[in-house]
Amino acid sequence: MNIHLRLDPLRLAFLAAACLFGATAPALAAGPPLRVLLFSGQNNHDWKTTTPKLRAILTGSGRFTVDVTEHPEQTTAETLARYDVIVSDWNAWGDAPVKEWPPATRTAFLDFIRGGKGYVSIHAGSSSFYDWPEYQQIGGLFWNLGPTSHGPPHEFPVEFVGDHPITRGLASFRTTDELWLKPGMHPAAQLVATGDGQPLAVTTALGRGRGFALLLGHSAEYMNTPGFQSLLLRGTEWAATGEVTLRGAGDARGLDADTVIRRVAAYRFGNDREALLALEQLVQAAAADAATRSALAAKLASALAAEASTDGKRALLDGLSLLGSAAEVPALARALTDAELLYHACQALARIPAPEAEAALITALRTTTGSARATVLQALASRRATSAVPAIARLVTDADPDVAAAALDALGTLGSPEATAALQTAENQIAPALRERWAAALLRCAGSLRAEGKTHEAATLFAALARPGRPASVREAAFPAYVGLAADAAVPDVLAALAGPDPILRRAALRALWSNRQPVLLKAAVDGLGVLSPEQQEAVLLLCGERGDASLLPAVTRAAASPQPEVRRAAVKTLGLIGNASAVDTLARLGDTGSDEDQKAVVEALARLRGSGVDAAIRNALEAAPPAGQRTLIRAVAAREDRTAAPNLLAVSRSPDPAVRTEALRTLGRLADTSACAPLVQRLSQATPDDRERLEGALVEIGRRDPAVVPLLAQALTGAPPVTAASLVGVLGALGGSPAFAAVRQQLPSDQPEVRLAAVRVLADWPDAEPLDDLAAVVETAGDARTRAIAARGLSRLAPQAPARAARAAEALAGALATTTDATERTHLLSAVVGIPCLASLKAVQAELSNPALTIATAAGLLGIGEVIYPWHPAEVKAALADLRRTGPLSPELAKRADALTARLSQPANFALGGLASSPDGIEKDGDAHGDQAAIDGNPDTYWDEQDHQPLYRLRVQLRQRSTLGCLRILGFSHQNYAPKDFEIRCDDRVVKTVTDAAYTNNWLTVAFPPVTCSVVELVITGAHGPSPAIRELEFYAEPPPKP
Amino acid sequence: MTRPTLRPSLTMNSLSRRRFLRQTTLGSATALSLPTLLPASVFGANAPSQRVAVGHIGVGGQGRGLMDGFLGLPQNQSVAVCDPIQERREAAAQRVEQHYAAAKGQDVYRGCRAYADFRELLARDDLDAVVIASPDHWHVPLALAAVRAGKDVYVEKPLGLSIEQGLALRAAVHLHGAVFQYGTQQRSFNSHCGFACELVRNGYLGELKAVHVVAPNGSTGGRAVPQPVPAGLDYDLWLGPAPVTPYTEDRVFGTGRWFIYDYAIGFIAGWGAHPLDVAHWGYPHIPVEYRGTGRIPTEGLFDTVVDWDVQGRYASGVEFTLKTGTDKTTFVGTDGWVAASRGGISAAPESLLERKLKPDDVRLLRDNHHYRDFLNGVRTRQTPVSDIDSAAQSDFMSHLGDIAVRTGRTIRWDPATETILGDTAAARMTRRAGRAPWAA
Repeated sequence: MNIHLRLDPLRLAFLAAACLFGATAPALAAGPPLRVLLFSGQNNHDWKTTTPKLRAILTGSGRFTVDVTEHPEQTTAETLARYDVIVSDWNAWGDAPVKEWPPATRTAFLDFIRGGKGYVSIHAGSSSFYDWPEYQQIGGLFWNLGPTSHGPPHEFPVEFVGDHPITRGLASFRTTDELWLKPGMHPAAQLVATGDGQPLAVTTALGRGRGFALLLGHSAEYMNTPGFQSLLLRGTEWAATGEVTLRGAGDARGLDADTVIRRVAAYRFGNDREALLALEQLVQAAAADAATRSALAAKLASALAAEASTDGKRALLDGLSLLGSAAEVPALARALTDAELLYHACQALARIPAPEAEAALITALRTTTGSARATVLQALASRRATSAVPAIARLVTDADPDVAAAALDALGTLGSPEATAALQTAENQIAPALRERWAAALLRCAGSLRAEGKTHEAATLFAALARPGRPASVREAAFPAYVGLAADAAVPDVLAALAGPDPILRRAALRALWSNRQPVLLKAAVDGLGVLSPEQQEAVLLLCGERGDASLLPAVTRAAASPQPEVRRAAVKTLGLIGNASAVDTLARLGDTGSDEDQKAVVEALARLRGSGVDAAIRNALEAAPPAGQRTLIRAVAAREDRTAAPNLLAVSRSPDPAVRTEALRTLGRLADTSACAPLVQRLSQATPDDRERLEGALVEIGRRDPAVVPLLAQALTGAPPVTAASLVGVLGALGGSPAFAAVRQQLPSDQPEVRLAAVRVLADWPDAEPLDDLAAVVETAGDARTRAIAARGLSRLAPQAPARAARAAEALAGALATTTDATERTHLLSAVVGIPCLASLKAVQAELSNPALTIATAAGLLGIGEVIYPWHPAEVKAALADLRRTGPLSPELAKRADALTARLSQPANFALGGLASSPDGIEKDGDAHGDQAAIDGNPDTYWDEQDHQPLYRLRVQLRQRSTLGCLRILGFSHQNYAPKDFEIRCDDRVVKTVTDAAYTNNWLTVAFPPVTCSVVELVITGAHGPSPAIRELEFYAEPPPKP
Repeated sequence: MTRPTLRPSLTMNSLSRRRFLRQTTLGSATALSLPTLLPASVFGANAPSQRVAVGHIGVGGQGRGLMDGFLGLPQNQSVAVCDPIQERREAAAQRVEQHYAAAKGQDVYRGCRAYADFRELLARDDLDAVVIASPDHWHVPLALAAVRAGKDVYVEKPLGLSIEQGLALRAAVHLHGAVFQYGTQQRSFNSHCGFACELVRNGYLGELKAVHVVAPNGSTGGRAVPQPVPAGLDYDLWLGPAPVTPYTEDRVFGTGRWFIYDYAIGFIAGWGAHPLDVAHWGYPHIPVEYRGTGRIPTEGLFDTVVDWDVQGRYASGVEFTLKTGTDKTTFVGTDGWVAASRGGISAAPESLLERKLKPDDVRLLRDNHHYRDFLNGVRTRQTPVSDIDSAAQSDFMSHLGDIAVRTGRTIRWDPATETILGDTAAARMTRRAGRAPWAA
């Protein structure tokens, strides 16, 4: 806020006017912003939407800064010291979680008010602590159990009572809200506003403090009105300071019209438009009230006659265009003579309904020339000045073509019988270049006659305009209009025109078909389809579809055989729209032969056929059709979701044509139920590999829809041939879930290697860590290397999902490594084991160090494990590192990593590393932040951050493994800005430390707490330095580390 | 589709056949013994007789994009371009000619003329349709002139500078039976907007309770310092029906004209057109009541409403809101909601998104190409997917929201008479002046 701004009252007025248009307008500079503490967090209304709205309105004014607390009961004297006013959206109504404030809070609250600060309650912010007299006194209004009631929200008038700074200058308004009838009112409260006669707003006092209560604001949507916002803003300002500088909506009385007008008169393009906006506001406020309107209009008119800039006069004219009446017409008429004001003067005279305005424009037709005269003509047309026809008619032959054209257009717009007659009379005097304009104007007159019900006159005129010799643009419009009025009598004309020699009439006749709904017309066109051009045929067929007239079906069916692709496709499309079961055969035949595009059109048409028997007809056609047609029909079955077609689909899924088989099985997958499973399973053993894949795909699709499929397939496993069993295991794997898992698991000991392999494959790809133990057993016991390799891959993939069982996986792999000699398999096992960082894997890889065929991958794997687990196993990692160094010189890159790890081992370990961060507070991330994990990724360039100004933030870290912690360290976003300030540290959901007003040193904060062993650490942050508590790094230690 | 064959230059030389026929017809009122139209097969599948001769008015950013889209369609033959900015129109004409030269495998192709004045372009009677992508304040004056000259029109959004303009254009389109397509491309270029609307129309959301529309906020700023008019710009023509004001670059170049009240009402219409169009597509009605807040910047050149927050309701009681944010139209019903933006769709329950329409259900989706849908309409006279009636209604929603914000009052709209009820000042705001000879 710029405190150097001149406190010029006039400027304030203009700035305030800028606020009138909404809560977000910049506000006046009446000192530093007032600090609001908004009480929220519970009430018997929707505080989660009203609180943000209140906050937005308050901050949007620019007059206030707002902090929200959802725990007013925790408020202390120290907190309150930072604020000027409390706004309450909180109550203890009903079964609210917090029913009482601790004595310290009560005292702090009263001291705050009595010391000269303010308290505001809005609707649900009232009505708590009925046994606390001081609270009632400062609150003022409350729900009086018994007498008070309310109906549904509705519109009612808000009136002001007496003279109070909050309401001074405000115009009464109407609003929609919940209205409390007979609310309780403290005897000492002063009533300042009523809603439909009921107490609505009061002011109160306690000690040196001030209170304001407003019962409007039942929900956020009712807070959008300017009236509500003015009362909230001005009431809050008054409660905080005892004064009101903000101006409210409808506060135009507060703006001095003469001053505003003087400023407008001095306005020039490029200046700030505050004055123009203030004028617009004055005008809109005056528009609602007759007396103010005429007074302001008179002021604007006299200002127009006085000294003023052109830009200022234009603004005055715009104001008069909304407020003006006959009284201001002379001033406006004078403005017409100024070329620079002509546009705005014409707009005003066009908008003012008084006949005097019309007369002034007519007079101006004589005094103006050229484009000014044309602009006046347009204004007359815009105001539908029927009295101006004679004056306008004189100008249709004006030497200036722009004037003559504007006169013709104006007569066309007026469209009265007089205007029509004037145009007809002028026909032979119109300049050749304007003949199209003339005809277009007459066409509009004919349209007006039609609209007025003068059917005969209109039809005659349209017919005349459709005749040869008239401009094509008018003929093409007039002919269909004539047909529309002449009704069935025009049918022969249309048919003759459609197939006739006159290209304009041919096109016009097509328009006539579309724009006129007589069925007989379309019927005639369809009957004569054969003589029409392909383009016309296409159009007529599409029209049949749009009209949905089934009687045209035979003709459309014939057209579907047309050699012209566009005609054919239009017919197919239309068959889909108007056809029934009888169209299936025609469409099915087309599906046999057409191009891809034709087939697509046929499928769409089949999908849309209506009426009974369509599905049956498609099913019947399915088995007999040739392959191309079958594919089309299957797609139609799919599009229509005809589930009863499963048997037919099963039948055609045995087609010799692979494309048909594919289509049929895909559709079975989409449509069939469990009854199709048995026949599909039965075919698995004899199927080709491609077909087996299709069959499996169908079973998976069916199984995804119906959980009954899994038990069915599990049952089918018993006694199934090996090929079938392997397939079924794969299908069960794709379906997932516990029953499928159990079934697949049962196949692990199968004596059929292909079944066993399929089961291991499925378990290795299982989405969760469930099969970990089974896979470990496979690695330990399986006879063949391939199976072991797949199981090892599965272990490596799944182990990170179950840290507690990772050791078991690593041990199995280590055991296998110890007994395997095959080099390739050892490679597989090693790469699997390094993917599971734990003590067992460290030992296993460490053992490999003695292998003469030591590879870089092994060394890197060892380092990788050490880098992850060193906080928990420092001694073991140290020993492994020593072993590694003994193997000989390391590559530069590995040496660097080994050195770094050694260095880390000599420092306190950060147990946050390798953990999983989440932020379960429902707050949106801040735009540039890097997500929750960024807080514990060891990289200070990335950070965790969320939306500003939230009451409560949470950051939760699931540790890599259970650890004993005694210290936490935070690197904030920047020094004492955007960093957690007030927070709790919770270990396994138990509070171990509460931090208030955290003081950072070089952006670092170190907090020690009594040692605790836990798996989850959470920060619950209620206060931030700056708008939000961003964290670059969050670290956990057993004891305080040295200063960074 | 086969590649387009090009307009044969041997048979008709520079005169197209349509022009030839029209001129002959006009020339002799009684001589009707003209040759009938040749069957299309003479020319092959995409003979010129089946192609739509198109003129492009306004070939700046959006106009050029549209032109490129039309050029790619075999149904289209672009024959003219028009822009008051010399550089733009010449570059556009060159682009068209290069396109057809390349398509023909020739070095040179002549057949696209560049016009500064749209009236000359509209006077050509070999032109079937025009694509209008001018500054917003020109949309309706140009479209009216085109329709009255017998052309079909593709008109960019937003529709009119005032409600009166929308009414005038709608009346002219109906009177002339012109084919009209509105530049609300989400009706064709994705299927999810239409699908969302089909869910609403067919009752899959249960009883509709609310329609929430969000459109991106407008801009503030712009330099309000008079500058000399640059060479190659016909500024008076560019202003056209708008009042004469000092030239500044931000009026004409860049995006400033979208935020200046003389030429537009801001993004409440300019961007609002898209999600409001979806709103009207899904629920083809117009709210009868509007109230709201917003802000009119007082500094800089731009003076249209920003930060608008409008509430209203339909006659049915369905709630309506129009706010700023990322574009979206949300339909809320008793059985769920669906929200469509140009970028995607979401719904609750999510199963709504899997819903298949039944044969009896209302279908809204048409061609998946917005321009082709228009060109096919020009050929067959079928009304394209984004028709004038819905264009006018969605545009009126923008205007009524704007008027509610500017007046600070509750605005009541009577859909039967299409007038504002009980508020004379607001009613006067539905009409604006126009500078001759350009006004609608």
